[in-house]
Amino acid sequence: MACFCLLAGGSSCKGRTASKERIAVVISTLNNPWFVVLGQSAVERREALGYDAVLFDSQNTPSKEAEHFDNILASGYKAILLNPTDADGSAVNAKAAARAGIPVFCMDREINVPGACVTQILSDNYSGCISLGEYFVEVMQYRGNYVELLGLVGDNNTWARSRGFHSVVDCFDGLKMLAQQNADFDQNKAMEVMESMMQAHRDIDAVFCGNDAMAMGAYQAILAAGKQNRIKVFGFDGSDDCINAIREGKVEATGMQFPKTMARTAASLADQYIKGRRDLPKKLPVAVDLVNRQNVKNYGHFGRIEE
Amino acid sequence: MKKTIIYLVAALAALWFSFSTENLTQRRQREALKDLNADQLVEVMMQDSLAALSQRAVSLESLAAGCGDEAFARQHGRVLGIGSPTFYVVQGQLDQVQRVGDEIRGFCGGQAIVIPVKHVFGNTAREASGWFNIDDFQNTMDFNAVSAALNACIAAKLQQFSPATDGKVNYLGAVAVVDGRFPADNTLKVIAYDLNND
Repeated sequence: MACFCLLAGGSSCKGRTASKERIAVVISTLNNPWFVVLGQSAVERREALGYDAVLFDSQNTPSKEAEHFDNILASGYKAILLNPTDADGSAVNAKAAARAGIPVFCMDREINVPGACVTQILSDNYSGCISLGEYFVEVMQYRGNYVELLGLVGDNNTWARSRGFHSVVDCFDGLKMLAQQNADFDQNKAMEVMESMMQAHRDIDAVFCGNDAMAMGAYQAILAAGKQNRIKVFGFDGSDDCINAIREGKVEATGMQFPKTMARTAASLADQYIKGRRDLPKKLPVAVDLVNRQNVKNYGHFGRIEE
Repeated sequence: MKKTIIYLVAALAALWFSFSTENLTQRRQREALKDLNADQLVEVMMQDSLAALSQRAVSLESLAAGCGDEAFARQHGRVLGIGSPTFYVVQGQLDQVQRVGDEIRGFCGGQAIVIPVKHVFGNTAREASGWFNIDDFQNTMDFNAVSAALNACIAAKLQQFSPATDGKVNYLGAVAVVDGRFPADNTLKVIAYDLNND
């Protein structure tokens, strides 16, 4: 019987089956349900493949992630499924693992050093936000004022999403961005940032948020200000609360990433690598679906309904 | 004896590398990739590789007939990662062509076609071309920058295009097919690498 262990602060995993090989699943944060699904899906697939899977929470802190890597490298793990905290900072950890002969497979978030990971399985954030941008333009009918909430500035996903969105929206002169600020993919911070943006700009018609947690935070601020009928909210991720908010007419649209697909693919590729396969792709994008009020019935549980 | 073998292998290797050359396009592509210059990279490919793209283009008729078939998709299409559309290079002649705002509209074998000439979005042109491999780039931002540069290059090239008075235009372009279904009842969007009245 394989076990599921969560290591948030470097504590040891109790009751692990000694005979099985171990795989580490290092997640940037378990404070966001989307990442919990990513981590749990990786663990479940690893266990189905016959490994012991141990889940580590980096608490969005590169130094915590480094501590986990120190433990992992000293403990005889066969592979690491990594959801990095930082595109540049996490590369050091991945390279250390590579030097120690432990293959690293990145999930969802990218690191900037080619070769540090065997394969990076990533959402196609850029394309997803192009679709979202096109829908944004349609909903806004080519005109209006909007603000943007960015994620973590050190994460490539933040910029891939923002650039994909702007590659469309900036082509239309009637759409004007009044402000752009980072809220670190965090719901509470997004609420605070949105509050100050609404105080500074009375004429906001829409907000584009780099993830759903921020979209929900922004919506809370908008609701508190009584502007829910004026300001349109757009998110990205496909989290359950945002999908429900689309159903209820609170949020316009989001981009559905597929955390289960990413995690399962990473786990399967790691298994193939351990068994000797070496011709794996360096990067494997996963397509993102636009979810809006027209097609929201097809989505839920962090994927398509049938998934 | 051992030394002689080593010298012989080294000499053969030197000989191989002295004759192993890359063509000009490959060299320019490599230089543009080294310190990513997306505009330069796109310019190289648009100048040097359109003819080759034309060689592997399919007609809309064959695409409509074959796009639901896995073997056809493997032979002619390109896919980026998991869950992506299948991208194809297509070519043919449009008739009843009109310029409507920022689009060229026409028909090819009865299929309504729309070609954006100002707002060119997405990765269809990049992916169908097969010119760029994601693994050759430092990160996905650089890879996406190439897509933006290619779209901008296409838009700059097509914005001034005026269809001939006989309403016939030849096109070389890219399409995205989702879930193997050809949108027969709708207007098909083609991202055109090239349009001409010849």
